[in-house]
Amino acid sequence: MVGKLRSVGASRSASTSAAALSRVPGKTTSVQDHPQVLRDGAGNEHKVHIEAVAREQGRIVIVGWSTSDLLDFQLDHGNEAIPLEIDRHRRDDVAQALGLPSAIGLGFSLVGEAPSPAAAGLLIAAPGGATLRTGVLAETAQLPDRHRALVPALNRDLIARLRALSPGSPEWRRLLSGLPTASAAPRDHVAHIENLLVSPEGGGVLFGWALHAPDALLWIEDERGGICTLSDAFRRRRRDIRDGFPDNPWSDQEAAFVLFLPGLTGDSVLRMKVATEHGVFTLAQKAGGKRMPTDPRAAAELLFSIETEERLFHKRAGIVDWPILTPLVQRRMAEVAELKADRTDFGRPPAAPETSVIVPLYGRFDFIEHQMLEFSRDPSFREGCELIYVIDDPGIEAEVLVAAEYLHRLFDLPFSIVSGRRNRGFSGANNLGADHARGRELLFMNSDVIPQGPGWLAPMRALLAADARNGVVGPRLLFANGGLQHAGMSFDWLDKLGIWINRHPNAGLSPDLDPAEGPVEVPAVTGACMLIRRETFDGIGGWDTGYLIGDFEDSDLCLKLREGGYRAMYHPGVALTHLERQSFSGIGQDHFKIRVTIANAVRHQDRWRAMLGNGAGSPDPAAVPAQGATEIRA
Amino acid sequence: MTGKHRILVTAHGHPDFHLGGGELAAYNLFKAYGERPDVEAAFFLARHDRGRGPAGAIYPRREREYLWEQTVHDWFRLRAANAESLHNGFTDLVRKLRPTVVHVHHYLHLGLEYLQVIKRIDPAIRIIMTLHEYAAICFNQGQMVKTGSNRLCFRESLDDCTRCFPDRSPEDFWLRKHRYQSYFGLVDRFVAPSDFLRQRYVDWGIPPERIVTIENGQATRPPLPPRPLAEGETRNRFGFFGQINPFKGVHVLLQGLAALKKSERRAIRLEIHGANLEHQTPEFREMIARLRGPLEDEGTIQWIGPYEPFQMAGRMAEVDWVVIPSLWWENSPMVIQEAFTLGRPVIGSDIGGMAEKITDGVDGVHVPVANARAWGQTLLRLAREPAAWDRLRTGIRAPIGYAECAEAHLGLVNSEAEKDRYPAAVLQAL
Repeated sequence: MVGKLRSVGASRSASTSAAALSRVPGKTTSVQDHPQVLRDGAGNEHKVHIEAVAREQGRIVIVGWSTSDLLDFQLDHGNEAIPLEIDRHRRDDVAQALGLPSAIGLGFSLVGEAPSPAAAGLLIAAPGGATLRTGVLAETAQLPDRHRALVPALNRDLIARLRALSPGSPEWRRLLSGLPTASAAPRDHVAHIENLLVSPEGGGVLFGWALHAPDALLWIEDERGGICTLSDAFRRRRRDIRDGFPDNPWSDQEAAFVLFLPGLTGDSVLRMKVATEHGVFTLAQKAGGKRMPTDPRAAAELLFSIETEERLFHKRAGIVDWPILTPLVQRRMAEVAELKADRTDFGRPPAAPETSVIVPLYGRFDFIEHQMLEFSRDPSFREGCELIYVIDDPGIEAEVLVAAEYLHRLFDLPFSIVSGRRNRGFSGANNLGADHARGRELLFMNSDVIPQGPGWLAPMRALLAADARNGVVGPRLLFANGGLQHAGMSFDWLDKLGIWINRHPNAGLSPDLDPAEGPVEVPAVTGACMLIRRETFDGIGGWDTGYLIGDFEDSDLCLKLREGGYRAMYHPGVALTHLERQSFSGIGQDHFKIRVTIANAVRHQDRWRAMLGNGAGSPDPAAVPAQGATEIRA
Repeated sequence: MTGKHRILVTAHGHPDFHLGGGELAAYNLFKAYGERPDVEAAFFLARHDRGRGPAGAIYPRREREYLWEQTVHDWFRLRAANAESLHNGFTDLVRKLRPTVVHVHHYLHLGLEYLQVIKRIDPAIRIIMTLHEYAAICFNQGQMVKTGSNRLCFRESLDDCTRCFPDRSPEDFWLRKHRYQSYFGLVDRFVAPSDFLRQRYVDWGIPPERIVTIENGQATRPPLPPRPLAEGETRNRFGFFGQINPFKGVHVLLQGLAALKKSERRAIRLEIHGANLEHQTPEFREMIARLRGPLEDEGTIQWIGPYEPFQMAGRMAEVDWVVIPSLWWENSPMVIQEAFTLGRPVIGSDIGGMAEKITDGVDGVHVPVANARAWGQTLLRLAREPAAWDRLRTGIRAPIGYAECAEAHLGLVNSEAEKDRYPAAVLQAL
């Protein structure tokens, strides 16, 4: 039996790797050389073997195995028997070599306060039977990691102290270096990094899933030692993980993570690690990542494809998406600011226009014939307006210029085409149009807004001029079917998505049901058609270009005006048609657009939370006298 | 208006090449204008296809008649295919002809833009537009029947139209209507050949004071004598004249005859003088063939085929009655005017232009639209009731002639009751 075990002992871990250790001077005891047999009171035999003995943190640490967990270990120090803290662990190798039915609890580690640095032995007692006195054990200077990981008592303090520290701090790193490398994952801890997106502006987004104790010491590090923890990550539950690990105690928790990593580079190797009293274990790693496009929209499409439910997306947008997208948006705006825009004048514009009408074009542009049919038959428009179309879609530039030639010959209405050569979005295109405008007032208009006849502009101008505090004027807009499309905007809290959205009160109803009978102050007006003084526009810095694609820019502008003491005015006495498709919810229709709306809403409410929450969210502006509904005579 | 008029008549085709009702009406009016002492000169400009596409060229056909190689490239919005020629050839022609009136007979194949071009050349030029069907109102070939089912349509609306054309959005239909109405805003007066069509356009949005009804003129001639009857013969010969397509209802007529007893059918003879069946869908042609075969075999119908205008009187002389079983509204079908001119009572569907132009029990008979059995029974009853024909023939009033028609139009031009949609300043600005 003994002989057999000895031969097994030559294999990696069952018997000692004592031979590999440098021994302190002294003779090894027999229990360190080969297993000893003890007989208990009932006559059963128990084998015991000591594999490693060392001093750690001023304590004596002993690692070994026994075929029974009934054995009692004490430190044999002269006449004193000093109690030892024992931890048991499984030893598959021992069970296999000895043909035992279970490996559980065969291994043990002992930790105790040894009174002096040397000369300790063990008293090993079998219940009701023999006691083995080992004599002075031979010690090594330090436990190898493989053995240290088997001595949780040794690391418990360390773990407790690490918990109290800020991950990545010098002290945290110093203490962490004292932990061994664990040979196995902590029980039920499992993780996977699905991918890493790396932004060309630096930083990245890491995502995957991790099952771990809620208080696990878990972090992500790159090879240069940068540290992040999942406490900064957006987390969500995942059904597939729950189904895949039905017995895992944490599979019902928020397993998925999406984490913004600042200062990341493309060639980083990232490791997700967990520390327990058994040491540090690498749960998952990822070498290199996918480079994100520089185009903010394309980058957002990639980013938003990382699965997150609509109802949770607002929690993610602020901590993951905007930190990575904002530098891309800023870079794009800086780039387009450098581009020289092409301007083509058709006909001779009025020498001193009162109003510059600025219409951005993106995608469909067949509406402009319809605008020109109306503009060209409006004498006051011909006299006082400068018309500027801004091509915000390089793909349509050639076609628009051909159409412009056709329309100019047909209507003889002077206008200019400004081609931005790159897509800048609604705000950027409007700002570019404003750069080319000479009027004292700016009228921003969508291409699918079409007047119902001549004379629509004068009442809007009169309302703007009626009071210096009137900052912006928006008209009534009607859907193609004649229902109200815009009668002022308000803000609505959308609980299911966790966002404030822009609402068009009474949308779809007959204009007869519009509560406003005359010009009225409203929380905001739509950017589809709004009149603003040039001076005021410049004073607030124009349109904010930080939003994605096109959303919330108009309410942002109105809120900036209101912050500056101006009012947003709605004029129900002027009606134009707005060929917007009537939608169910006012938020986007597809996966991506819904997330764009949520992300923009998050940015919007982060900027204007106080004003949105301050009664401005009433669905019916006329019902909140404190906020608005002051009848103004134009 | 002082001085003599110079009138340019435009049409979507020249009757030298296309013998449609609209082309003929336009051309005949042009000729009638030219013969009037208060008209200095009349001109005719017709869209033409030389088989090389809308080249845009304008060239003479004969004295005071021109052809224009133009068409439309966007039928939904009616955009001219050759915009360049609007500003070159067409503008040159108008400047040189110096019309005081442009009488627009159509915009199909010409596009809507030329109305704008005319007013830009000279805002003082009056534009008169004759409406020949419901093309501006209805994208389904201007028929105002539902796509697929051919059910009658009573009104346009964004939602009604989108149901007929699900590929188009309500916004598309809004744009279509806006484009039509915007260009129509340049027209000084509209002419509808029937009150029914006039009302449909009023419902659609043309101000009632800007649209009048003037019937198309006809060649003036004495009526034909009654068809000589053999001993014991009755007034049992019915004639269909016109296109054969699903809207014209020939198949309903044939179904009505097939539903009669064979013995009843022996009392009836129907002649089909029909054109363009070969251009219809295979399904429709097969249906007609199936209905026609047995009736031809037993001698109830005679399939005679297309005719030239000069043959019309000769062919009508051989029948007692003219039938017009259309399933769509019609406007003012030329065949009704021709039948009345030639002294033949007309049996027609009881809707739209047919119901208006035929007075039931006076100069013809109304039959419930699309009711095959009623058609069969009506033909049978009239074939067996000789007194009916005599009574109805006496009730026929001769339609107005070309000269009368031209006079009515000039009265319109001369009227001082113009109500422009746009102030003079707007027109000056164009």
